[in-house]
Amino acid sequence: MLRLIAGLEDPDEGDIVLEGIRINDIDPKDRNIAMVFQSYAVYPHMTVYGNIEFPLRMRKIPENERKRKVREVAELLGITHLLEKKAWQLSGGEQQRVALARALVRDPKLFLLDEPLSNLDAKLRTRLRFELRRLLHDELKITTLYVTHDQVEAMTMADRIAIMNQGSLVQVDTPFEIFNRPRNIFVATFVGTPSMNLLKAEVINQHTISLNGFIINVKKKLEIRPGRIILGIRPQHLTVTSDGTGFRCRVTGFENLGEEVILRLDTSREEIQVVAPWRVLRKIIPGQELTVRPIDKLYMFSEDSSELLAVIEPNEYTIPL
Amino acid sequence: MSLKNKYHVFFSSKKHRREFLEGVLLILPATIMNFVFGYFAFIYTFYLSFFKWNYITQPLFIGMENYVRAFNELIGGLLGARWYEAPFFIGLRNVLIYTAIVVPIQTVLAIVLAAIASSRVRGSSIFTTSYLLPGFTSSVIIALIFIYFFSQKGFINYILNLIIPGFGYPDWLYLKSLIIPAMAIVAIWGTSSNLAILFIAAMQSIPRDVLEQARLDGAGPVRRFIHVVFPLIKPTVVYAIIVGTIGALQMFDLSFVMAGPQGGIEYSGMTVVLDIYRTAFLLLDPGYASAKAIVFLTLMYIPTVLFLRKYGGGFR
Repeated sequence: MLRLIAGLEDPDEGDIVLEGIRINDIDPKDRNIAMVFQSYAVYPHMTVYGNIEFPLRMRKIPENERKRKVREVAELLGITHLLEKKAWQLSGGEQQRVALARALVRDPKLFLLDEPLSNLDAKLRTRLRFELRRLLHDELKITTLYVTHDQVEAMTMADRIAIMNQGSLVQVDTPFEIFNRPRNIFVATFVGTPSMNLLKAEVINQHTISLNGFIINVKKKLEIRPGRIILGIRPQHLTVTSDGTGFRCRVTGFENLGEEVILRLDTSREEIQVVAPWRVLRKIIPGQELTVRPIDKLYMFSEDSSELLAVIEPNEYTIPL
Repeated sequence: MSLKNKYHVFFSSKKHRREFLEGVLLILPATIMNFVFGYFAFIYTFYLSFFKWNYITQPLFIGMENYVRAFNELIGGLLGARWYEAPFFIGLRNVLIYTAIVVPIQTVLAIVLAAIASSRVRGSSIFTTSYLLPGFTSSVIIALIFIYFFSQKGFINYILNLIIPGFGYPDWLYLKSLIIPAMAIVAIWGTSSNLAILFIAAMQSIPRDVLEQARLDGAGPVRRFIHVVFPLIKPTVVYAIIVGTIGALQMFDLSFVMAGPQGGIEYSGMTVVLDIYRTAFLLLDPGYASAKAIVFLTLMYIPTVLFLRKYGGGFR
């Protein structure tokens, strides 16, 4: 996708339009699109200065202006002290900054980032995630296309997220919409950790859903024909009950995250996960039976097409005792 | 830990001792060959260079006399001795001219060929196969074929007359001024494909991302080559120049086939190694031939070391 936009590959069909102009037939070097590769692709034999200067040199920009611009960008990214070093001597994080600087130095119309943080360690990734957004979005205000497999990066950095599945676009929306109104099961399970639980359920009539015998009464009228559906519930939206309301599950295991616990439960039809406060651990042992009930949004998906059918807000349903 | 201590630990540990023995066993065949045909031959040559011998009688120690003769031949040649007095000098001069023609052209040609072969131009793979073929052919066979090409009514003159009308029909192998260029042409044709394989490998080791990055940065194919590809293959270029130079200076086969074992008309096709061979096995003077070999080795060794010091580092 990025390679198509950058012009490194040609599309089989369709137009690529940038600022109202079709750019399919424009050579990559004339598109003024900057790209940062996943591998950073620094020129190993050049100094950091030479790397950043390279696109300016190729555009025949006069020497003193080049010098000024390189200094400016290096300062912005905090790599002034590295300018004289050879690029192959740099660490991953430093190389990434050099690659960014080289892309920024020529004021591109569009900025393409191909998983720029995926080669870095977790701590650096979190820090750079924040810095990148501040730099590109708040300070430089460059339109950026950022490819990532990390949903946290997508949610935290993007104004709009485009989710792709096997080469086709599934949904383009704000992070809020993506999270709260996922168009289908793929999107729903892609965002949020742990990912959304999917339960086989049945619409009995316009006000009742059955979850393997466990009944949910819906106050508003469901615009769904009776029949089988997939009910999606986020792990954070389930709670362990002490009064026996809810559906029965058996504990198969848990992951202690410190503050909270991810419980793995077996409903006898599917495996689900529940995020519970840490203190429930005191009452739980694997193999034990317990009941859980939903306390927040319910997502209803079609069983055939996996499209979203309806979202039921927590105040729109009740669970009979 | 002191060095002595370190070795002590290394050899006393059972695991390491076993590994050491296996290592020795693996390099043994190559080492033996190297000793017999390399070091022994070298030391024996050095030893022989102080003797007068004719393969039959007892060798006679004559001290530095062979060396004095060799230097006299070189200096005599420099001062304008007649051709039959200074075959060693003529061989050296010829081989230097030959190297000066062959090495730059074959290196540049090989880089260009490699660039074409690794570009994604239509038909480049057919081109690569057809061009790399001579690299697998014996140089003697190539030389024999080229003897026909270089004959007066041969292919080379035919082509040259097509390109340059009125070029004429010189008899390459029997003209003193053309026999060395003729050998150079054969050598370039035969070896640049071998070098091209080396450069193709070097170019393929450049990450594709880096080249694409250069393209996005606004560099066309020529500037991509100058600023990115060439600096990254520079260590290979240095290697090719050194290996090519050493090979060219030691040239023997082409001269033997194209000029004959006596070095052609007035030694016009003589090379140093051919002269050494001739001295040892036709003139039956192995002591003198050995002295020439040692002198030649010294002459070759010094510039190689200097060149390596200057350019051998590469970017790493």
